Amino acid sequence: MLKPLYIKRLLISLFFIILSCPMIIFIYFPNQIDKHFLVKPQLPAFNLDDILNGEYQSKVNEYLNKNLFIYQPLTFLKTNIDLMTGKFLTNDVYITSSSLIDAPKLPDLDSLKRTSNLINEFMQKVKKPVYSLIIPTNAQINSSKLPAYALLDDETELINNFNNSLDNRTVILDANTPLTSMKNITAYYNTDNRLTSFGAFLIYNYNMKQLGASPASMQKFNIEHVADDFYGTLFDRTFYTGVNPDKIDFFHYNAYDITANVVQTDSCNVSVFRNTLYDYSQLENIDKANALFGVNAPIKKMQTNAKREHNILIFADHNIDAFMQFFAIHYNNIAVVNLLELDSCNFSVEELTKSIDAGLYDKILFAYGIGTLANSEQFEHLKCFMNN
Amino acid sequence: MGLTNIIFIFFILPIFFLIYYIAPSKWRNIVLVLASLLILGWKSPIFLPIIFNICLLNFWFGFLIFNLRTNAPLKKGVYFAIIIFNIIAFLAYLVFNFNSFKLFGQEIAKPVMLSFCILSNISYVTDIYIKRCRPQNSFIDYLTYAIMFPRMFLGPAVCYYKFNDQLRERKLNSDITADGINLFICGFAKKCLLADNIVKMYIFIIDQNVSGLSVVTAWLGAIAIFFNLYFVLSGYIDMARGLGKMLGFNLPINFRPPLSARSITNFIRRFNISIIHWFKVYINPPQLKNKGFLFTSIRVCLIGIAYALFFGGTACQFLAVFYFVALFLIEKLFLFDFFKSLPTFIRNIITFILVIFGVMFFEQGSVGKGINYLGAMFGTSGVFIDKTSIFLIISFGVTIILCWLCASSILKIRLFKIKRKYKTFYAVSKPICLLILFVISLAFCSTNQGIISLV
Repeated sequence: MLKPLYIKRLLISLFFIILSCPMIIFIYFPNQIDKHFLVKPQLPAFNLDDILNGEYQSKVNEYLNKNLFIYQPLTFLKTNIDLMTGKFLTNDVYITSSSLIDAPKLPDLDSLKRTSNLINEFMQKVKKPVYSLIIPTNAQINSSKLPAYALLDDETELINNFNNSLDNRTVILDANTPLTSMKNITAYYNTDNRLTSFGAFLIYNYNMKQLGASPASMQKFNIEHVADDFYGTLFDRTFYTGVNPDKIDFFHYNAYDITANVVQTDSCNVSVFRNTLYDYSQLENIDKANALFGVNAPIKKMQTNAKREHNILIFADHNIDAFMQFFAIHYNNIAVVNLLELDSCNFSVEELTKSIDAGLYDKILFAYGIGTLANSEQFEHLKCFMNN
Repeated sequence: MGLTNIIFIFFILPIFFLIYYIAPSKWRNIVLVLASLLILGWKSPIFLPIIFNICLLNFWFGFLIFNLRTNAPLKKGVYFAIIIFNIIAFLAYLVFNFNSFKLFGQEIAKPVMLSFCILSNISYVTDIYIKRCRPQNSFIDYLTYAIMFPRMFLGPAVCYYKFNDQLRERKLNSDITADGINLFICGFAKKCLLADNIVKMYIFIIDQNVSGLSVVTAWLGAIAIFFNLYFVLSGYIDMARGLGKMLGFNLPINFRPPLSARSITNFIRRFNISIIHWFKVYINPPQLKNKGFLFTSIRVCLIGIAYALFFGGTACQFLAVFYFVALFLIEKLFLFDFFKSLPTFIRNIITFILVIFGVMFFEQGSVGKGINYLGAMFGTSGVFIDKTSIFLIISFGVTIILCWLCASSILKIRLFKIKRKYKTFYAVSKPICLLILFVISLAFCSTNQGIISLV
């Protein structure tokens, strides 16, 4: 029989082993453990200002936290304990039997007002037809999957409020009706908060006429299943394995071969070129949804062999990626600007935006998820485009 | 950097303990001081020289007071000057802590908790002044007392004269280390599993329009504040005491289960014991001693003012503290016998409700917000229970039950009975359960990095 003293020594040993193992493995075997990162955490650059205001220390803490081998198993453990204790909302993700749904962080009326004012100011200067497409969140569309007592705000009212505060000349596109009308279509990924190709098709099919062209019907596309093992951002936050992985689908237009030349410019003004619409190299990475139109970048420009010579400038968040395979049929020149990504490097925003001449484009589209509008500061960058 | 920070748990602690246990005993204080300086300076390095110099000055003040022992008037004057200096340092810390601070246009991170360092300095100087002890010869030993990192975040407050023997000589063996680990894990679990979870409920409630809250939701929020406050404070204290034991120090107990309090007096004796004891020892003018109830009341008020100031000094905190002082005095004067005649569980419930009101006020940012919230608790919205309440009860029900069990004596008594009845089973299963608890707490700690606590 173990003496109490030996039991105590065992406790002490095991305690210090638990404390030291993560550090030892991090230092000596950093790459041996398989980790699932959609966006690999980066060690922050040494910056005196950030050290003085405590930002650097917080970023280092986050970097070390996510890079420890125990982070994923511990997140998995926490998710399962939350579920066992009756919580179906963990790390801001609703867990249902078939999918993970992002708990939306919606903007307040003040930030919506600020955003709409900035867009209206932009419209005054640019004098082009402007379209607004505000997409409700996954939680709104799939609210029937959530328990009756789940607390959801009325996004329709928020979206209507926003649309009503835009200039009268803005053409309002409707994303809610097509997404809610087709219940058996997976409009959002089960493990991510982005639109699937099907979800984007529904919105495109419903609204393309207002953008001045007839939408291609479903029969005009060959659907290619390029991946069936995609685990997205919501999986990253929970590591909940009770939901099936997602499929990534490409919609190939079968009337003729679409050719596209795409230039992506990152926030440090480094450009990458490819001669395909889809970025097939991303299918080797964890974030396979980036294959639809490439990784997140502040500016992406595409030239296509579309029959109609029309150009469109799009200000959008990551949801726009799934639309590009449809817009490529109708527009020769498409520029996509992600305002949130513009100043993630120290490169000047004004320099970056010089390459976009708003006057070149026939139409301007603002396509955002309602949650993204919470960050109204990003729309300050619209001023850089007013002078182009 | 707090005691639940990932860098602290997995990088600093293992290396620190390795060096500490390997180092000869005469060097252990140096190791502890260096680690404390690293931890305290991690988030706000610019305040480190300030902390160091305040401690250096107080160390020198100790010698100054001791050398003036033959000149009573001068000694008194110098002593009060030193106290005023320390109070000014504390008030300056409060100003920096509650306002954003810029140096040459650059925003500076808020200073680490200086409160307990200041308390330690005042305690040291006062104990030399009233001749309870001699000045410390070694500055390193003095720093060990003043800034040892386990105590720097939320205490416990320690009187110098009770602590100085441990600076030179301390006992360290497997029993004590195992007890320390036990305490540390319990404190860690309180903070990560209970405090960080229950605060999410409160943050969720406070994000709503307060005047529109249903009665049940408002009460859930008030209960959440109380449990968050208790488990953050007692969690940190247990971690501090646990780490202290692992280093060979015996730190005083600071909390007893508050839900077992049968009166406000009993509650005050269970909550933040070390700080209240510290104030009782050092805010103890001889003019007010043994002079009847009125003078006792004045002394209690002075302690209340110091306590409110210690935790931030906002109007709400002063109001809340005076609320407790008033209840304490009313109980002593009028209600003591009546209260004693009631059944224990009724006294528990009444005490809990009275405490909830006070704690709720303590945490509100302004008097207006406090009154608004109080109104919601009494049904100004006209709704008793709504969808939000059901969502919260279902999502946080288990957490609330666990909080209630851990804040009362029930769990402790059950475990004690098991220990007495099944000695061997208890001895074997306790370490296993502790380690499992530690891993589960790590799971919550890892995913809750950056959670905003109310303390």
